[in-house]
Amino acid sequence: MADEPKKVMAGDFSGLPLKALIGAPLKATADANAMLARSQTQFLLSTCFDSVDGKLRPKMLNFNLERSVVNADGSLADKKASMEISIPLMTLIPMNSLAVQELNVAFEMEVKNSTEYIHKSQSQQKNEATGDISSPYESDKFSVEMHGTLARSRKSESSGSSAVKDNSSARYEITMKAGQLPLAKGITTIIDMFAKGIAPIQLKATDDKNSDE
Amino acid sequence: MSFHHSIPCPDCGSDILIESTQLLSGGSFRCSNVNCTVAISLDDPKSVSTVTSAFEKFEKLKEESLSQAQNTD
Repeated sequence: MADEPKKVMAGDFSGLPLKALIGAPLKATADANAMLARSQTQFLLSTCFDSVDGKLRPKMLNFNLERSVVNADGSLADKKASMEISIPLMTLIPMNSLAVQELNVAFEMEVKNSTEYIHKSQSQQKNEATGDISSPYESDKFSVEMHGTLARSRKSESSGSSAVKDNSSARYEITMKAGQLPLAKGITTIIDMFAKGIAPIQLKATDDKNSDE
Repeated sequence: MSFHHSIPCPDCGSDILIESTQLLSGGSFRCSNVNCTVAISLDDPKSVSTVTSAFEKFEKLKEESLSQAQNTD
């Protein structure tokens, strides 16, 4: 069999607009995240802050904090210490849930190339010759007559089958994951600052005196 | 629809997991580290209404964002 040029399977993917196939979903995701970021900001400013004299003040919520009290002898006191604390509203809102959490782009392409070559040959040959010799020979005493047949038969049969199968396949798969971006640094700082403000302030003895005065 | 979030413990700073529906119904949440509990003050109706309104707005915002994202697909 003559040598055939080998087919390069990678060539089947060369015409694919991979840039568009991968880039388009990513761009759509980035656009969606940008839109969500704007919504987050608007939500924060309109819902979690009050505008007082042109200044934004965080909306505060009253919470009760209860703590167990341990007596001097080590036993747990029946009555718990209770105090009221203020928590900024924005610390209660899970802002980071407003983002694209995961993006999966699964692009799969399969190219299969199958070539089959079957060759069959069959031949039959038959030769036959018949001859009749009949020549009377007559003599005085007897007569002879000869008959003969000559036959040649040849039968040749050749049956062959040769098959060449060529299977080749190529697969192309792209899996992409885009993770969730953390909150903007500014928002994180504000939330941290307010979160730290939740902790009650422990007054020192001198502060107590000053406050009494 | 409810959601989970965490706030820092006023005492030790570790995270206290809160759940929105339970919070609004007056449930308290315990810090596993120092065994203190926090709950919204039901005596202060303004706090409750503020949180309720904020959660509703947030839920609405999430639903809108989700529907927009689905339309983009």
